[in-house]
Amino acid sequence: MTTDMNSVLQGARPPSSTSRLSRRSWLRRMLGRREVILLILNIAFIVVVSQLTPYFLYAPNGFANFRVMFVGMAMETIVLAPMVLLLVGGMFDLSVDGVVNMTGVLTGVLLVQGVPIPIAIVSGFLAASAVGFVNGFAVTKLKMNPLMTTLGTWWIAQGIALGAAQGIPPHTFPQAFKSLGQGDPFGITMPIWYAILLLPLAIWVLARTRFGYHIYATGGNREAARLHGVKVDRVTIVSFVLVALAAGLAGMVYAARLNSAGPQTVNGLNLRVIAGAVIGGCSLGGGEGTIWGGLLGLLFMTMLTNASIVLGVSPYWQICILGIVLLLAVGADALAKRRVASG
Amino acid sequence: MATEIGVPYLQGRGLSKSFGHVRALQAVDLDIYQHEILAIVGDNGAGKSTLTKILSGVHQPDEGELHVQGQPVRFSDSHKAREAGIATVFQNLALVDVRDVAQNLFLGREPTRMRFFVDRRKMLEDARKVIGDLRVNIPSMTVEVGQLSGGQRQSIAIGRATSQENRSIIIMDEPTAALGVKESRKVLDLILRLKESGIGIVVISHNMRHVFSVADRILVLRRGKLVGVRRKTETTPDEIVKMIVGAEIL
Ligand SMILES: Nc1ncnc2c1ncn2[C@@H]1O[C@H](COP(=O)(O)OP(=O)(O)O)[C@@H](O)[C@H]1O
Ligand SMILES: [Mg+2]
Repeated sequence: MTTDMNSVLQGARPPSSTSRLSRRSWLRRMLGRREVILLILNIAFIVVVSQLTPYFLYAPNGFANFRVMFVGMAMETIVLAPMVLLLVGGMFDLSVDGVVNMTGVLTGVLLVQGVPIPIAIVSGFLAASAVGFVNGFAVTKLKMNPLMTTLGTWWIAQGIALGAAQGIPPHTFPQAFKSLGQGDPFGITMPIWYAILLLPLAIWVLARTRFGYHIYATGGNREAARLHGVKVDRVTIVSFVLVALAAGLAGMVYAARLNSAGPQTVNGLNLRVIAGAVIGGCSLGGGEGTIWGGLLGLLFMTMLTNASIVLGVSPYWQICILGIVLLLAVGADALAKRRVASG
Repeated sequence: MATEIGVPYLQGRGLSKSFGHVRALQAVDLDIYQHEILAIVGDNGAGKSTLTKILSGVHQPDEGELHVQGQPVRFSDSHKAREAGIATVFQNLALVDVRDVAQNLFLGREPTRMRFFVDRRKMLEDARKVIGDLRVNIPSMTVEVGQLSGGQRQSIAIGRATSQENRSIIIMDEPTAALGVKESRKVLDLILRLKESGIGIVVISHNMRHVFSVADRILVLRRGKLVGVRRKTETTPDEIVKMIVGAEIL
């Protein structure tokens, strides 16, 4: 059967054909990609700051500052990976800090009471995923606002962390548990291992799997995705649970590293991760963003903070600079959208 | 005229659907035959889109049943309707603007390897074939559909439906609403050609000229209720308009 609509159902746009044109537009597309811009920006930043001070890159002993910075950032990428999935799917989660702290404390309390390590860890993950499920269920099935819902669950989880610690954070854990944070198989410290395992997994899920395609479609046009049979509520709930599980893992790894599970171990990690993802090109409207972009955005923020410290910038100004960078990123987005809309 | 031959491919009996207090559809019966074009008309809010969404498995009716080739079926989701040979072009096209042509053509039915992994190469090949068959000028399968013209977007939405293997019925909810005269004519011609090939078409339109130029039968809805079904040869645009607005007004 020929389903020939002739060529009338075609665009106002003329067909672009010459290879010169397409090569130029390819270059423009590359340079228009957030990941490419950020990669260049990050490299330039390293070059410039290491000219200003040797302590950023290699002094006083072989890349020590950089190594510490990367380990700190690796901890944050545990949360970044699923957070990008959630943001691309058009959602938002404020509860991460609460879940990190809650899971650390709950797992810690179980451990100091002598509960076997595997059971303590599984319990921690169950508690974390419960928060993720509540978030996802409330937002999809009850159609509650994601911002307020996850603000609520943040406070609830944070309250549980404070209440369970009862003023004395659980500490002094079994060696096997501590090694989950302090170990260094093959000379690579554990946080880096988590990043090495989780980031490629997330990249691959988002870019190659059906679930990843459905995340983009759900974030891009939830109603259209639903009409075509994408299980949009399931996509959202699974994404919230993945974020919560990652937050739980981070909570346990922090506890293992510090050999103590304070109820305020992290404070601000969530917003830093989201800001990094947005700088990296995740639109809060959903449908756009990549793990690579989020990673480069987080790297830029991390280096900015670190360089400020090394250069002796006061902490007040540090946070100010971060705010300006975030505004610039969001502003660039808005400008690009306006240009597309009017062009 | 080849119409109403044999068993209807798709039958709805007593279909009702409410959204909260809104009774969008009340006890509607309809028969859809292959090789035939059924137009559904009615004012805004009459329940046309709700009916198409029930037929395509997006909504489940509160009451009533569906039959495919005489067998009772339940479409628990749109995949089930697709498996039963029903393809749909939704109102407002239902495209994801930030995704590319290929992904929109196969959204929700992506070709996969080992169930989980999208077979991107096959997706692009199939997309080129679909767009080629429609003889539509879309320069690249990897351009975001948000950057395309209205006609191009329309052809992607239609290409989704026509490229569905096994499609026996194609439902089009206001396929010409956003198109100019010439583009509309092309869509109507395509509808006629699809009918010639043996497919049953359900088409929703507000344009009486369009309806009368392609339909074999015309089904009228008013405020969620079935007003009646007329053969085109046995009615006039006047009568249909009266049925749409309600005789009591006249
Ligand atoms: N998902 C929904 N939620 C609530 N009300 C709806 C929904 N879909 C349709 N309706 C209502 O049902 C009625 C019929 O709508 P619809 O089927 O879209 O009409 P039509 O396509 O004929 O214009 C309208 O009053 C509409 O507001
Ligand atoms: Mg409608």
